[in-house]
Amino acid sequence: MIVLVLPDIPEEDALLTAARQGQEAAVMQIYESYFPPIYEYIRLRVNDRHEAEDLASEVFLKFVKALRGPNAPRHSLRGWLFKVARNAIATHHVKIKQQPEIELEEWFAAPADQDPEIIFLRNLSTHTIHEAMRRLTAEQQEVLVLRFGQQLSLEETADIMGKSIGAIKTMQFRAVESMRRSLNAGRKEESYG
Amino acid sequence: MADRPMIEVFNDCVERLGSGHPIEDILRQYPSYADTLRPMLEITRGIQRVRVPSAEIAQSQARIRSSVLQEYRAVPNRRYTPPPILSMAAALLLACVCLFGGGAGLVATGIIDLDNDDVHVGTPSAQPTLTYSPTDTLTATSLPTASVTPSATATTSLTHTSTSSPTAGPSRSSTPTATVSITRTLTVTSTRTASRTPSITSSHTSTPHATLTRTTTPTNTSLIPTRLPASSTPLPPQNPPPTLDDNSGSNNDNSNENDNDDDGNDNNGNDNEGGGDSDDE
Repeated sequence: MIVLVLPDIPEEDALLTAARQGQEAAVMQIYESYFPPIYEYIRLRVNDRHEAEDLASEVFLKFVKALRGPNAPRHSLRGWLFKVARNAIATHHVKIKQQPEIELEEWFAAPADQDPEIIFLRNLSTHTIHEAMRRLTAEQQEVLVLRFGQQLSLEETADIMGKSIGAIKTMQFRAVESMRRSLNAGRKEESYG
Repeated sequence: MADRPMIEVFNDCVERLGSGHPIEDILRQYPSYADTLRPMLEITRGIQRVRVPSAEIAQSQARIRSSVLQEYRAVPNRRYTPPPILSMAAALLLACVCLFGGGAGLVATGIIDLDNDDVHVGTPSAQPTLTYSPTDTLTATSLPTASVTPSATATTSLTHTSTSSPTAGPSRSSTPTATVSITRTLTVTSTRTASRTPSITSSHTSTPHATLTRTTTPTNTSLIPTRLPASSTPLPPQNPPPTLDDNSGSNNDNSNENDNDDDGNDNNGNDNEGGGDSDDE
């Protein structure tokens, strides 16, 4: 399971205030804390590692530039960063005009019960799970990465995606349901093949 | 379409899963949904395990760090300040509020009657209002906020306007603005005091400013108008402070004529006041 070590909200606000006042240490602390989740979020949506790196870089350069301007984030820093990352990913996908291919080098392996479906699901490699995720719609992928990958709350996810909380609940349910169908179809093909 | 309860139940299970609860424990809470929920929660757990290798993250983070730092240092260390035109507009607005707002206040308190050309003497409580308005203005303009700072020029002009009003008093007929009205009131006030302390006449026009701004003791100043009409031969301001007896001085310039007009108007009031004062005495 992904364990995020993000600053809590008051600490985040204090950091942000310090960064806006021009404290370099605060800016770098924000970078150190938020780069991993932002990069991971991008990387799970963008296949190429270098492109993911470029996009992550773009997010933080935008943050630094915005910091002293009138459009600087004033609260909910993580929401601001994820939104910028989301826009960067969307722009990237429009540019390449294709769904990224599934070709991930090293992903952590999943562990292994009695129900064949459950046994199958438990033995799925993270690679296969990720592959199934990539077959979902862009919004479904996003909601899964934000909610289950980054462990963001319903409220945060809704804010980042510009949706209602109810819509996020429905979307995450449908996304997982779709994955289940897709993975089961693959399992049946394997057993018949 | 999945029913709403199922969506809510799934979300609750996801939250519990995120908090580290085992799937079997979670399913015990919803036995009727267990068969549907179990594979979904397995998938959810699988998604949670999908992660980017930490080495890759660290490498990318290190590569980007320097460029972020460079960019941060390159950005000029400036705080957001509004464009100068906004500052000017704010200063002008403030000046307008102080000028016209103050004038309106005077009108509202009944110190000044704009419909009549006569000067009305308000109740004694009106005096503090008069003497205080310039001070208010100063306080307002001296606000040290960043946006007001560039408006230094406007501030100055504002201050000038208010302080100079008393000087311009004599020519009030030419400028029927609120400032002028202030002057009138001043004159009247002084009239009253003059009668009480006739000896002070000496101060005359020479220091109308000081009296206006500071005056808790407007006594000194105002004697001039009061007395001048009576004598109809006012002295020029540059003359040494005359006594009441000096009113017969022969200097007569235009401004003094204006003064005479003013005083003529004031005269009626003075008569009344004078009568009152003499009664008092």
